[in-house]
Amino acid sequence: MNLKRILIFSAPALFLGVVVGYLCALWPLEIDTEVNILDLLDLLFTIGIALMIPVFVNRLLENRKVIKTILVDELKALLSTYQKIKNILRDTQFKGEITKLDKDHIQICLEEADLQIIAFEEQLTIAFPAKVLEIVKDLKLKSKIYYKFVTGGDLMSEHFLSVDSHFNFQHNVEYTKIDISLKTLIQKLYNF
Amino acid sequence: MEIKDEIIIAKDFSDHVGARYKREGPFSGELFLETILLPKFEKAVQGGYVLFVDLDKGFGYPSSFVSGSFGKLSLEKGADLILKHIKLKSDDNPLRIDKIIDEIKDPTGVDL
Repeated sequence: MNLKRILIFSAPALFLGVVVGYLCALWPLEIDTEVNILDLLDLLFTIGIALMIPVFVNRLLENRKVIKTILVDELKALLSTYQKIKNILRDTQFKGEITKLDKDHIQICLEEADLQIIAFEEQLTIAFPAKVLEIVKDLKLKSKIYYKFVTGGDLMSEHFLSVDSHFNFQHNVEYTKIDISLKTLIQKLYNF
Repeated sequence: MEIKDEIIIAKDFSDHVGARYKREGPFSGELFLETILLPKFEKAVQGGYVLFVDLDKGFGYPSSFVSGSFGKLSLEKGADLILKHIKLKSDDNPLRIDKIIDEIKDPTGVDL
């Protein structure tokens, strides 16, 4: 904390102290010397807790909000990776050919998706350990189904030279499934 | 069981693996199975040791390649024997291991 900040915070406190001191000098307080010191400490402790609770709760809520935002950002990045695959397939259908480079790009996107799932899992483990198993198991299953659809058929064959509307339609069905499941997961995260 | 042999797919086969069958292009799962995986796996079973398979440094493994190699091996030899004699490693992407193990356990894909 620099000197300017110290002055900003301490000046009003000093002023308040002077005012209270002056008022006490004008109208001296009658202190009840019969009050038990433990009762006084109890009172001070209660006031302290009353002041601290909103601060702690607020900080806790703020932290949870930040963590949820990070997790949601991970899922949005994953959505965007799957979107890249969709775009490649859409573009290759319009071009009338799919090259080895396009297929490599799809494979790279699927690898990237795996790494994003791992990153999401690691962060979820820290933030919400009780939810990891259920959420990540489902996410991995959906991702595996999509991966199997995209690379498990003829697409990786060197004889697969163009994406037709039938393939793209089937792909869109699978893509929509994973897209919906990721968006649903984002909703769930907000409700944690 | 002790590890006595290894396959580094990116070095011993290709860092750019292909599709399922040999007729579908180079570096297929079928070719990998026939030339590397099956012979080394059979030696591991006979010798009573573990074959270490390193999946790192490659571009990734299409499902058709995994099915044509590990899936086919599983159909021929059985999942339990494979999981007993093969240890997979991937520091680059641990989900590669999960996908291959899933393929070994369910080579026909009925559990999906």
